[in-house]
Amino acid sequence: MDQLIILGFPLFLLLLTYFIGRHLESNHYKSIREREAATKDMVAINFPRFPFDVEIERAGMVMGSVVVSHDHFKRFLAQLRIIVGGRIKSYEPLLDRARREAVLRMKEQALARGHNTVVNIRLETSRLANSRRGGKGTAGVEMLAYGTALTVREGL
Amino acid sequence: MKADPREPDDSVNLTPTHWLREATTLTVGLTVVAVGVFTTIALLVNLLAPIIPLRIEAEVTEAIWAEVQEYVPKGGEDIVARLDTLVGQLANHWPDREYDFHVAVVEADRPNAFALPGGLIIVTTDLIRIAESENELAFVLGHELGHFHNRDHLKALGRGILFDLALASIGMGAGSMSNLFGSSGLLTSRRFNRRQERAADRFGLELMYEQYATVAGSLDFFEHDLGVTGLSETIADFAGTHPGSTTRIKEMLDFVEEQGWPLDGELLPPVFQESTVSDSRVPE
Repeated sequence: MDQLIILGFPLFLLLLTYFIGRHLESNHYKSIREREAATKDMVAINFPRFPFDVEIERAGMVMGSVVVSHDHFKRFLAQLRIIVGGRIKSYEPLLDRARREAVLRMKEQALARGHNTVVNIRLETSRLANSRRGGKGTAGVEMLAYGTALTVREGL
Repeated sequence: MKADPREPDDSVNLTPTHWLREATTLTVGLTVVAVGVFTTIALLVNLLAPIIPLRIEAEVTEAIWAEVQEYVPKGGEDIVARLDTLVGQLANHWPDREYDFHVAVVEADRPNAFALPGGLIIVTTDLIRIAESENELAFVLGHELGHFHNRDHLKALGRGILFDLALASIGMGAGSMSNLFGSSGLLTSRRFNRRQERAADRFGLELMYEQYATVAGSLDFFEHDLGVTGLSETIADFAGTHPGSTTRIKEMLDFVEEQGWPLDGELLPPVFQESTVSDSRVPE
């Protein structure tokens, strides 16, 4: 009976976090896709400089940052995967969401400031250490997107 | 040149995966590997345990003894001496024994007995309290002698150490993953344990018969309420270290019948006074 509880309770938690995680992820992707559609006309490129002449009215730096964490179920899957190696597919949606959300926030900031273009975009990431296991655990990741927002006359 | 803004593509960076299927595949696959590794370890330990010299066992006992001492109630010397005598009487029917057996009584609210390396038998105060006859206690002690006979105590210890080592070597010192694969190991180990318990039961019965010319009282221990009632026998059997009581009693009865040993006969009174034990307390 003890064994059933020892195995059953973590299994219940795993399934619970799977369904909660799936629901949250699905909602996030829905929001991302809608906002990407709304901002799709804004030019966001990572050229350090324009390969052609444009007339720039205003310029400024914009940043979008997001901190995300994985759910218990995906972490469990990753831990299993680490034992045998291979692609850690369970982390792909997490990082994909983080990248897209950070870029979106950056573009939204640029739009809010009246710019129509962002150039020289860079993405950076950092791991947030968890206090558990002496700081060796991962609490989540931060994704930072930044670039130079421009107001280009007549657009590109 | 003209900029061509587009929406990011979902499909490039995401591998379509059914997460539950992925989890099931990985868990089942790794559990099979874990069971394989643990079974190999258990088999190796079973092969190696009989050739470990007694001298090494004695060293392990010395290390354990200091910890055991903390739980030994004061004023139990008389009981220990009588238990030592009883163990000695039973062990006399095992002529080629190499052990020098001794008994220690520890305070605990569950009836139990353990065989530790070097010939040390730990008996809990609650076991002495519930024993209604000398015969009943003799069976439990004989059962523990059976573990020494088959060197099960070393096997259990060896398995425990190697299982932990196997888990630690792949970075599973603690945590849910360790629980999962630790449980595979535990269940594998218990399969071996149950086999060992059956063998120890038979050895205990044999010693009892040699000592008393009857195995009466040997099943009395199972008639006490040990807190497992209400559980289905299958679950208790699966989850417990020892075979479920019903299964175990049946196997013992079959063995006794096969040997033609009498199950009835006069039971000797319990030689241990309840008050002597229940007044004892663990020193703070």
